[in-house]
Amino acid sequence: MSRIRTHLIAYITLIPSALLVVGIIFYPIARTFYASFSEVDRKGNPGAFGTLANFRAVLGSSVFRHQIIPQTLIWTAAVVIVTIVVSLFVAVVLNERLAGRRLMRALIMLPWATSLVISAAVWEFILHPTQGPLNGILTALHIVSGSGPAWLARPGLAFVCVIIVGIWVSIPFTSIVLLAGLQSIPDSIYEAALIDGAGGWRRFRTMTLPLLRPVLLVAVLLNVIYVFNSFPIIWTLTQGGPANGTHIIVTYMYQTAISQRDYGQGYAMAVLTFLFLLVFSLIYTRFHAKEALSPE
Amino acid sequence: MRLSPLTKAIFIAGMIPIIIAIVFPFAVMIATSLKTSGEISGTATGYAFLPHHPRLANYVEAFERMPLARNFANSLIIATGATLLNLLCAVPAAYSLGRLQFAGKRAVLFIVLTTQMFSPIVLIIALFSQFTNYGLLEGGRVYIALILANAAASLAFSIWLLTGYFATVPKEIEEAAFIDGCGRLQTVLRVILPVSLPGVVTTVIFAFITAWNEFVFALTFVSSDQYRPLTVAIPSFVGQYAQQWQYLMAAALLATLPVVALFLSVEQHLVRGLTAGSIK
Repeated sequence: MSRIRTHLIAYITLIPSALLVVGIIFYPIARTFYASFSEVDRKGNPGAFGTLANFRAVLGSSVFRHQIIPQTLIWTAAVVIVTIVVSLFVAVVLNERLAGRRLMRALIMLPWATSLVISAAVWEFILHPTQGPLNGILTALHIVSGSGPAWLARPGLAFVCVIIVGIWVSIPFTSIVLLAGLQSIPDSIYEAALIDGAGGWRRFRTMTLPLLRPVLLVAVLLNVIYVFNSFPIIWTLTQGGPANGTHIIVTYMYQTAISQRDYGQGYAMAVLTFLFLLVFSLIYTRFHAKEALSPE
Repeated sequence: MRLSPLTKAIFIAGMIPIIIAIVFPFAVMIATSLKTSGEISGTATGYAFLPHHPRLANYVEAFERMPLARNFANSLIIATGATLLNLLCAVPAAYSLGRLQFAGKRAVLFIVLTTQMFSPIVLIIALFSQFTNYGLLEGGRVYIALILANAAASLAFSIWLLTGYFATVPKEIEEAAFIDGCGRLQTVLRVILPVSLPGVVTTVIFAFITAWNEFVFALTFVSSDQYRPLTVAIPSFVGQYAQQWQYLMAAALLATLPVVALFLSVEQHLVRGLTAGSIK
């Protein structure tokens, strides 16, 4: 078969995917960037180009600077750190030949297969102040008196609750990725250590962790991106309230653009989100994960 | 390798609370879906986690009280449509990327990877205003909008996964088919796809689950109750049918069970595809 024919076939087969990706991903991205520097009408269409008014409005707002940004950073750091630590433990345990390993693995994966909003709706019920199982159990065990706290009604408490649910949904994916990483470490390496008489904890610190490092670094990066962009849990549980106390950038962006029809600020926040993650990924891969992201 | 008794004890002691925390919401879903509203509020008897007399009639009544059948149909239409469109785009692209040598192949693979970096939430404002301009959000056309968006969202993963499977089909099998007089299209349909069946099934199921569970597109695009999929309908019932948690939990369970079953059936292949980039 001729080279030209091969090329022709290859490019034709790429056309459907190219159309879909350009229309649904690249064009909207370009439009978002363009519109963020433009005057934007009430239907989200960009008008005159060349203004920083949208960014000024976003960055000039004290809610954005004093609530949204710190909360986004706390949310991301808290969810990612706890998720990684718990998932690492889960992965190490599931990597051993324990009885019931297959069942535990299947159970751990349940939240991953479940829609985030449905999980969040169930958690909303669990945390319901008067009818929820959490307060039901706490009251039955006499841990709280009366009917128990209104978990999602106080800003600080609500924020802790959404973070816990955020961790709950993040554990399955992270555990399974780390488990796959552990399983790729050959047993022969441990056997050598066993002869040397290295104990369990020392073996974990001096052998498992360094060998798992590339996978661990990728898991952290992916989690940061997912969690930073995570919308359904907070939107379902609190819609960012009370008093903006559980908003992160993406939920605040959605409320500003879609609910309040202030598209200009919405576009600016989308660009800030995108740039933040881009810069973070670049710095992160530069300083930490060169070995993890290189193809070989 | 043998674990010391102490290590084993630490592992088990640590795992028990984690497993309980992971399973708890599912246990709540099942238990609550079988309760009466009196039991849930606990006014008469005090709180009990399990129902006294499991009431399966809740599942029938949930469909009578809430427009669940409609929501199921909508989820099915959107997820099926998105899966088909996704395959229609991904299979030809993955065939070329996996089996042909052509200029720009590495660049295309790189672009496929970068599209994964864009979360739907960052695109949603521009997509919403674009689709409004095109009239794609009016009436039944919203199905088209949702099918397009969902197909695009899982396209990169499908191409990635299928490319890997197609690339491993031995060249001899393909050549034998050519010699037997099969055209290229016939060869793909009769040889490449059947040989890569585990990969194709995994791709189909992953695309279907992603679209079935999707929230942001549906929340934004759908304005009329008539076209709501389950993911938008169920949380909205929380306010609408307050005090009737048994129906909500029954609906949540029914919306979740089919995808959990599908997910667990292909989980091994899925993990292999997901971790292919990060694990050598």
